[in-house]
Amino acid sequence: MTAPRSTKTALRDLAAQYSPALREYCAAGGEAALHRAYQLGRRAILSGFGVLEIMSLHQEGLVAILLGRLEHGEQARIGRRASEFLAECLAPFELSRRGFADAHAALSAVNQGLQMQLLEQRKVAQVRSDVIGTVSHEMRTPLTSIHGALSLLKAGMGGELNAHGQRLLEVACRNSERLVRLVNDVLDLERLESGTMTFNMRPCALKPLLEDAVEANGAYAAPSAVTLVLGPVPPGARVRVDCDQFMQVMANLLSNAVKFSPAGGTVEIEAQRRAGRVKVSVSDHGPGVPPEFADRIFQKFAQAETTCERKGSGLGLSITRAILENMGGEIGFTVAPGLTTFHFELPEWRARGLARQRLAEDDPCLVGR
Amino acid sequence: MEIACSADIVTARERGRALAGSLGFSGSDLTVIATVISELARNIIEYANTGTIELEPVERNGRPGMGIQARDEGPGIEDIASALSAGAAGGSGLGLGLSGVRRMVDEFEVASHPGQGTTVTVRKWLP
Repeated sequence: MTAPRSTKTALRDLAAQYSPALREYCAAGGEAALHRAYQLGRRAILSGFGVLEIMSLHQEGLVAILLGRLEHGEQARIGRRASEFLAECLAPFELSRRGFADAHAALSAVNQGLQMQLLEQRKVAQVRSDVIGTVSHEMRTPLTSIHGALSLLKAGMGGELNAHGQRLLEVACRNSERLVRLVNDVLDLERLESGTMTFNMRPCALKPLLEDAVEANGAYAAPSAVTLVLGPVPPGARVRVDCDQFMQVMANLLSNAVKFSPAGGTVEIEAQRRAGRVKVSVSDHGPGVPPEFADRIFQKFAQAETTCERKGSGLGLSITRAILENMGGEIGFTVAPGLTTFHFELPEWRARGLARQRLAEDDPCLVGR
Repeated sequence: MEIACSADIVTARERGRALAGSLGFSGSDLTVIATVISELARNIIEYANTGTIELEPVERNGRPGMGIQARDEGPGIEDIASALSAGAAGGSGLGLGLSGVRRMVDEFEVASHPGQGTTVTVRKWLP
C-alpha cells in the first residue's frame, strides 16, 4: 500500500522538524524542545500517523546524531535524552489510545445489546413464520375437501335442494372459496418473505406478457362490464422475470382496478421505458385511495374502511410488492381526482451481441408467441 | 502563572515537571503531567486567548500529589458532558483535549458556565 502524495508530504514535513528538535534536546536539553516533541506527536495523530511512523522518524534522527558524535560518555546522555524526547512525542498517542479504549468499551456494550435484540427478533420472526406456515398448510387439505364437497352439492350431486337450501349452499361455497384464497395468499406471502419461493427468471418480451394478462383477466372484468384497455408498449422491451409470478402481479393489480371501477368503466394498462427500466401502469377511474390509508396500503391485511365488500384477503398488494421486489422491481401508486394508478418498475433486460441472438433463437418466451 | 502564548506553555510545563519531580514523581508520570499541562494550556489559548495555570502540591491522608488548576474567562463550555466525550470536536474525535486530560489524571473537575469562563481542576497522586 503506498501512501497518497499529501500523506508523504506531511510525513516529510514532520521529519524535517523532528530531527532538529531531537538534536537540540540531545545537545542542550530544555523544556522547549520537549514541548515541541509533544506538539509533533499531536500533529502526527491529527495527520493520521501512528507510532510506527514516529519510531522511524526517531531512528532516522538518532542515527544522524550518533554518526557525528563519538566522544566517550556522550552516547549514554544522548540515548537517555532521545528516549525522553520520544516519550514526549508519544504522550499524545497515549491520550488517544485511552480515548479509543473508552469509546470502544462504550460501543461494545451498545453493540452487544443490539446483537441480543436482533437475535431475539430473529427467533420471534422464525417462530411466527413457522406457526403461520404450519397452520396454513394444515388448513389447506381439509379446506380443499370441504370446498370440493360443497361444489359437488351445488352441482346437484346430493339431489335437489329447496330455494333456501340453495342460498345457504351458495353462501357456504363462496366463503369456502374465499378461505382457500386466504390460506393460499398467506402461504405465498410466507414463502416470499422467508425467501423459499423459487423464481424461474427468464428474459421475456413485455408485450405478450401484458397481452396475456389482459386476456386472462378479461373474464373477471366482464360481469361488471369493465373493459381492460392495453395501450402502446415500447417496441422490443424485455424484462427478466418469472412469467407465472409476473402474471400473479398483473392479476392482483387488474382485479383491484376492476373491483374499484364503476360499472361500464375502463381500466388502462400502459408501459413506458425510463432510464434502463420498464414502467407498467394500471389505472382505474374508481374512488381512489383514502389518504389515511395511503401509507399502509402495502401492509399485510390492509384494507380501507370504505371497502364495502371485503372480498380479498388483504394480502394482495403485500404479495404483489414482495414478488416485484424479489424480481428487482418496485411498486408505487398515484391518486388524482378520477384516476388511480398503480405502477411498477422492473429493470429492462438487455442482451448483448451474440448472446441476444442465441437467446432469441432458444427462447420462445423472448420472441413472443 | 499567565498563559497567553506558546512560550508560557513551555514555562508552565517546566515548572510543573520541576514541582512534580520534587514531590517524588518520576519517569512516565513526569511526561503525563507535562502533557496534561500542555493540553490545558492549549485549551486556554485556543478558546479564551488568555488564562492562568496554577500548580500546587496537594496532600490527602499523607499521600502527596500534584494539583493543577487552569482558569480562563473565555466563552465557557455549554455542554460539559459532550465536551468530555471521546468524540468531542476539540480533540477531533481522537481522544485529545479535555477528554484526554481526564483519562490521564486521578481527579478531574470542570466548572464552567456560558459567558463566565472555565475552571478545570485536576489532581494526580503519587503512585
